[in-house]
Parts: sequence; structure tokens; C-alpha cells
Amino acid sequence: MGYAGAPSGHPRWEMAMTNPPADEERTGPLRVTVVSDFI
Amino acid sequence: MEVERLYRHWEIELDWAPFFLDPSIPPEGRPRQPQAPGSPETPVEARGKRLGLDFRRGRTFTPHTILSLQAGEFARNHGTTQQVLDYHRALFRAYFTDFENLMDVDVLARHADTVGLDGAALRQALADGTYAGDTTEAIEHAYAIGVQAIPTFIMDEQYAVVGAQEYETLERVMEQLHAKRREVPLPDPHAPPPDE
Repeated sequence: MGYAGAPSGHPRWEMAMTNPPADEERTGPLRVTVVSDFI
Repeated sequence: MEVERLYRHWEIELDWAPFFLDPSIPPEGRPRQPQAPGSPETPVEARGKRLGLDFRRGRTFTPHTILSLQAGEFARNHGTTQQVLDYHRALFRAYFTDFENLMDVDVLARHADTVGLDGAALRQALADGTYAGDTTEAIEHAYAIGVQAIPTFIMDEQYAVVGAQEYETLERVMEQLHAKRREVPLPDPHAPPPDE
């Protein structure tokens, strides 16, 4: 789990290093982007 | 598919991004040697099983997927989450089970109609290249940030889960990222009707 060196500023999605999230209350739904091909 | 199940049970917003699994495929597609009957199960076939898809042996052609990925962008822009899920499943089945050609606009439009999208509008969008720029940009971005395998699940634009994971693994990630389980799961539109 996790990738390093993700650039920022893409309008739709990006990846970053895995930093364990703080144990805090989530205010909105988790956003899941599925990167895929059809083959 | 695992992601469909996840969507029904967890409060998540689903989105999709395109990727070229094999960028060496030429624009006209490429003949392929069909998998020999009786040979060991490949990782792709194993993945198909997990997705509930029959990855039938005997395919002799690998398409270039730029048009189908643009069609996916069309679905993403015009469809509901369920329609996009259904469209992806339809194209996977078209390719892996029914050996349809994903470079054929008729195939892409027919499956769009089947899941309730506007096939005629999709045809026009593909002819006009409406989503060509966005699709290419997103594919290049995926390479730039190091995506190498599909599917890659990106959570909250920060965390990546790579590969066709078991559903239980994805649930653990949901818990780790403090996602909320739906109080009432969304109905499965593909579930068989209950017995009378």
C-alpha cells in the first residue's frame, strides 16, 4: 500500500506516500478512484 | 466485483481513471497467442475468477484500448455510479468472455445502451474526440505517479491499494481510513430475485 513521489496539482486524483491517517472522525465519504484498463 | 460490493456496504464516492496496461500495443491492436487449454491458470485468469468473470481461453487479439477508455470517461461524465460500474463490467465481459473487439465503436455503443447510457451520444463523443484529451492526460498522470498494475485503488487521493485484492483486504483499508459502513447496504441490482 502506498506510492512515493506523487506530484500534486492534478485536478482529479493523485497519490502520495502512505502516512497513517490520524484517528479522527471522518466528515465525508471516502473517495475511491479505481485506476484500470479494460484488458 | 469487489469494488461494487464495497460501494454497496460502505459510504464511499467512486471514481475511475484510465490506464494503459500495455503501452506497447500498437493503435491497430495486436494478434495474440491464445492460452493453451490445460495450461496452468494465469494471474489474469485468477483475477477474473475473483471478479466473478469468466476469462475464457482462446482470445487471438489484444485491442488498443484508447477508445474504450474514452468510453469509460464518457460513462463517468454521463452516468450514475451504478451505470459506470455496469458499463465497466459489461466491457470486461465483452472482452474476456465474449471475445468482442473493444476497438469497435458499435460494441462500445451497444453496451452503453445496455446499461442505460446514451449509445448514440457516446458514438458522437468518440467521433469528436470529446474525451480524448482528458483520457490521455489521465493516463500520462498515472504513469507519472508510478501506477504499474491494475486495478489500483486510490483512497482519498492519498493512499494506494494495488492489485485485485480480496474483499476483506479492502474492508480492512476502509476501517483503517475511518470510512463508515452504510447503515443499510445499497441493494444489489444484479442479485437474483428472492424466492416467492
